Amino acid sequence: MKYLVFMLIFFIAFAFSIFSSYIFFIPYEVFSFLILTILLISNKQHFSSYHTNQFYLAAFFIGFIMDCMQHNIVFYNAFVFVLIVYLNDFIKSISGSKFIIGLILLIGIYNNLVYNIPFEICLLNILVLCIFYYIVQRLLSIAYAKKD
Amino acid sequence: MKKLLFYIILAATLSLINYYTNFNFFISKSVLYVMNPIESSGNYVLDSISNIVKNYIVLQNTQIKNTHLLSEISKLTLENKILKAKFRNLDVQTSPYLIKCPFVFKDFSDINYIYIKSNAPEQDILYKTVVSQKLNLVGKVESKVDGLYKVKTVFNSNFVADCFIENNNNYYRGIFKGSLVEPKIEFLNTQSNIKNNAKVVTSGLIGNMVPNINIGTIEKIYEVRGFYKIALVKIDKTFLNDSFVYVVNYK
Repeated sequence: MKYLVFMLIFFIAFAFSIFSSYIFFIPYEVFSFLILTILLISNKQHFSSYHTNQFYLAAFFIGFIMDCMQHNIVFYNAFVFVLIVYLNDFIKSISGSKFIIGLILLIGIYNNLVYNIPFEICLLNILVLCIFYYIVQRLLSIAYAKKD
Repeated sequence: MKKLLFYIILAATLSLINYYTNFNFFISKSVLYVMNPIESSGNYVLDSISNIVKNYIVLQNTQIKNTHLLSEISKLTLENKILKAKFRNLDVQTSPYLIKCPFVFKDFSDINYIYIKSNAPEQDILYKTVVSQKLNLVGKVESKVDGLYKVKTVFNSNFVADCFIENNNNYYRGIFKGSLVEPKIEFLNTQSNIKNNAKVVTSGLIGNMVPNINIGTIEKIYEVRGFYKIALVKIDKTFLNDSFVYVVNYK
């Protein structure tokens, strides 16, 4: 059941990213949704070194693919994605899972500054990311409620 | 921190390998090979949805416009009707011998008689000839009933008028007999040379009928056993849509 929900979440992430890149013309939007998904799932998991390692590896892999897609010589995105998961873990241990909201805003600002996406469109994209965040939260709560 | 250091070293190592082998090109190619069909099909679906939405909006706008245009057309039709009616009323033949009178039907299915109203003296109306706005023969005033004058129309089977048929400056005399279905001229000379669409006018020779008033045109001619000819007359019925008729008051 849990893995079925994960599959559904990834499917929704891809659907949202295609929709987002189609409507807002934002390149590499799929990676924003994927990192959000990883963070959301990791927030729901209990602390254990095994699971945390999995998320770090997944984040590194996503960043690595993004670097390959962008034809970067230095794989800095792979490290940045790992850093994001690390910061999320770090902030979660201090003041709960509020890092994701900051990350969503950061994605909006990054799109605005780096990809020169207009501010209004970035706001709309943030709205789409928030809707995705809400849907995934609900789906994960269903998946983990079944387990409990 | 250990993890971060591990991943920094991993990223640096991969970057170094990539620098010499350029393997990221193959990875990006493979990813695009898998992702492109998914993305293009997704874009196709979104394109279709956006087209449906656009078409729906266009359809809605067209429907609204269509309704608006229909209402405009109905308004214009109404205005056209009003203008036509005004034009008809303006087309009045002003003559000192004509007395304008409004008319009504007792029953729309019965046009054998019409009823006219006039404030003119009774001797100017009673037993006089009634014509339409186009100066075609309508009938003859028969009596006065409850303040209204009863007019026997050309559609009445009892209506009889002495008439001439005008054909190439030749006049052939006949008796016009009114009818709703088949108004006709009877007892025409068998030698009379009459053609279709010849004009039929009143002769004024018998009775109180005013001469030279248009009745209609010849529609069909046939002979009765070699004794006489009968000509069917086409009467202009458009006066039924008018509001007024005229009483011809020749002294």
